[in-house]
Amino acid sequence: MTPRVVIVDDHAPFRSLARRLLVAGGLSVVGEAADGAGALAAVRALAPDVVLLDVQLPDLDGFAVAEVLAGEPDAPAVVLVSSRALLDYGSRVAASTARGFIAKADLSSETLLHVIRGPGRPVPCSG
Amino acid sequence: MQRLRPRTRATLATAGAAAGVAAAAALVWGGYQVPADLLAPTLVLDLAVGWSFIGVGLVAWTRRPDSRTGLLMVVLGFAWFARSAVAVDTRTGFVVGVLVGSVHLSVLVHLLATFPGGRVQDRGQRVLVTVGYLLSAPLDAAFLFVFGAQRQLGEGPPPNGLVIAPSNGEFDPSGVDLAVQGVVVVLLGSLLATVFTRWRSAGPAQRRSLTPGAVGAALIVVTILVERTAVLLLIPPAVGVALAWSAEVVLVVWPLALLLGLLRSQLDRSAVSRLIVELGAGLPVPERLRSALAATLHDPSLELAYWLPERRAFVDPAGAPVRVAPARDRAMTYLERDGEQIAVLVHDPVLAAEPELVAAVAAGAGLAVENDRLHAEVRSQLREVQASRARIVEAADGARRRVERDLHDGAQQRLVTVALALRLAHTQLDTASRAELAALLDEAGAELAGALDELRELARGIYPVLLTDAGLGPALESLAERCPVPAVVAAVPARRWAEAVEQTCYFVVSEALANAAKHAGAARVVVEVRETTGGLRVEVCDDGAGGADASGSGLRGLADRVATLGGELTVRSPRGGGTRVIATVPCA
Amino acid sequence: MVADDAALFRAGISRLLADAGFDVTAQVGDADALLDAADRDPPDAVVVDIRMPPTHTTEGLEAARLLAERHPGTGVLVLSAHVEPHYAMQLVESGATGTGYLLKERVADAGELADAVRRVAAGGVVIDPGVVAQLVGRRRVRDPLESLSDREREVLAVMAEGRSNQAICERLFLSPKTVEAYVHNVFTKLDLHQAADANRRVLAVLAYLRA
Repeated sequence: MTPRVVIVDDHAPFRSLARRLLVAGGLSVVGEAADGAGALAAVRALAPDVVLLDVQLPDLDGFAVAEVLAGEPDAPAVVLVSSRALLDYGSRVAASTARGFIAKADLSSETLLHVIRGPGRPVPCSG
Repeated sequence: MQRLRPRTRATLATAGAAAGVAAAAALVWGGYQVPADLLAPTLVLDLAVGWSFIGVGLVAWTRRPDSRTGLLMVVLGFAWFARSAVAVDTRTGFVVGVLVGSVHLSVLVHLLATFPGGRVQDRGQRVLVTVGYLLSAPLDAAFLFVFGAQRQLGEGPPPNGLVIAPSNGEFDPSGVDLAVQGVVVVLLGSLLATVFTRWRSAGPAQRRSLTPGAVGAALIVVTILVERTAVLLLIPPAVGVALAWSAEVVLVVWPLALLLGLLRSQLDRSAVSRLIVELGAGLPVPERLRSALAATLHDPSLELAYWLPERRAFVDPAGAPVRVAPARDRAMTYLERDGEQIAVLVHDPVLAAEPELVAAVAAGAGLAVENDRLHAEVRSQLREVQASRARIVEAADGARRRVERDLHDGAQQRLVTVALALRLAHTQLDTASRAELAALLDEAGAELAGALDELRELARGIYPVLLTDAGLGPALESLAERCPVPAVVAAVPARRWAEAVEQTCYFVVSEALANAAKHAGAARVVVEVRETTGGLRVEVCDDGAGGADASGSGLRGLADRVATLGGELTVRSPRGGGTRVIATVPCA
Repeated sequence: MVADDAALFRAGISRLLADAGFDVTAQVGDADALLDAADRDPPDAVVVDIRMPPTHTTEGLEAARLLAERHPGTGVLVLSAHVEPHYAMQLVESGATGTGYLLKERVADAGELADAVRRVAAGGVVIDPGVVAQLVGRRRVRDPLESLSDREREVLAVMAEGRSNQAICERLFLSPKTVEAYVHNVFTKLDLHQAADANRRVLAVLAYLRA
């Protein structure tokens, strides 16, 4: 079954490109949000399988949003994305409730599926 | 109050002695019958009280010419003796005796109400003193005028209670008498209240001089009060007599108590010499001079602030800036050395009444104060250097944080988008139409152009390449060209200086232009750089709203930057009068 | 002839120019190599990066000045990352014919690069539109540019880029007569003297804008 994805990022060009990339890779993008509050609303309304969540949002920290989302019924898998590298966040990603982390430049349907279906570890990457 | 001349003092002493002798003579040979057993104690106490006031008063007057207390005591002594005129069994003696019979009480009220200065200082005191005087001679005169000298002369003891003896029990006061006694009781009551309030609100230094006098005064007033209200309080006549005697005994000792109070600070002048010895004993530490001064002046709350003429500011002994402003409950004494202000003592206002003592302490401590001031100046400079270093580090960290954030939010974000667009284009090479691919690549191109713009701005903000390549003139011209407010570079000498000097001048202008555009709402800015003897003078002048905060982080940072080169930044920004930022930077 | 210390960039530009029909006779990495190559075989035009070894500051400008001295017939186009009128003015003020200052990002548009190289090779002046925009956009007290109409300001900007009246006609879709009238108006309103040749005209306009 095709995972249903919500994209959360305050940079509109990124949302648009990420949507097209994931759709081109066969995933189903069911919604977008530009901040943490929007993410919560979208998850409650759309019940997606995956949330692609930017670490740096205008209202809330991505880690905090992930924490809240983990407490939702039928919690979606949260995958953090950032234009920074995984290393920049130290152990915060591992300690978070997120399923994994993808550097934005490495985003594709393959990397996303790998993180979701993988052993639940962040994908080490150089970006 | 003028100083008491020795000749005047001798004359007054002689007159006092004579007055005492005359009063005693009047009592013994005046013509009235004084009970034999009462004659001796009456004489002794009468003379003791009168001479005590005159003698002690003369000493007080000599030692503390600035206080009127001494004079009042002398007057009280003479009034005390004068009331004995009533003991002379003639009509004149009776009239004079009745008229001055209670003047000494009025002077006593005056003395108590105004101690230790002897001068009326507020409305409450004025009312007390005035009522006190109205109740004596004027009231007695009214009585004489209304009732006449009805009394049979020459019978029994002298009138007016000159000799304390039990009344014969036939006490039948008239309504007028009762009213007068009532006023007297109220007067004494409020006098007591005044003395107590003053004592309670006094600072430690003032209490020292108030306590002896106040205790004595309280005793006297309470005794008189009880005596006057004895009838109402149903106190047996014998007790009333005892009280009257004890009041006179207290009156003998009280002048000494007053003198002690007056001279206490006088005694402390010897403490000044101890202070000087103590200060000479060792190197000053910040707190020691202050506590030594506080101990000498008996004012634990005393504060010492040093004047730093270069910074035109006061600092505490540790070098921290302090605000010295007049306050209602604090007095200030400025210390000078060779005509230059060096420090200020902030102290209990009562010390202001003893300027000589404070001056003596100041003079004694002068060298130590000057010495300590130099130490405070060094400490202050050290603090300033440390603070400025901390601010520079903080500003550099802040700048780095901003660069990281700008890079991350701006160029990096855009480059990520370009990477994604290229990947998408790559995946769609076979499926998408040429037009779709072209649109995607255009999108990538636009994001790249945006990233380039942002990087260029960021790079220029970090370091202006034109400054190193071409020097201050072209760099400032370029700044002015990009300034959102019309800016003119009026003059820049066309030569190169040390890198640090050029950089500092550049950032002064850059910050001043940014302020003019952002905060001042200026319509025009003029930039001018001139060579002076030994340095550069940068001036940026706008016609905006003024009121710039020189301690705000931007200008503060500039001042620190200029200061590291040994230069100085001044900001003149009167509200509504434009802003003028002037930096002088020394350069070899 | 292309001089840039970044090999990839150098190769990219050479490729773009070759695609546009130019014959790239040499690719070099620094100013000395460029001068040597030019001495051996003077080209029609040189594209040179402003920042090159050893100091990576303004070696390109210095090389342009030397080339103009030694080979007056060679046009020099300096590529730069800085929107700094100061550098552009330095080039034009040297009085050399066939000189230009272009922002590096313009090479993304192959047509623009080729056009600029053609113009300097033909002895014209090229000033990057970004640099001109900064000069025209500068805030002034009692801005004399406000007395110009929008169209006149456009004409002024295109003149400042170093274009001829003919080029202005093509760019703004105007007839030669209209352009002449606009140019005349601009010079009159700004109280400038009509210059004899194209270089002097650019210089006069730039100097005016910088004052």
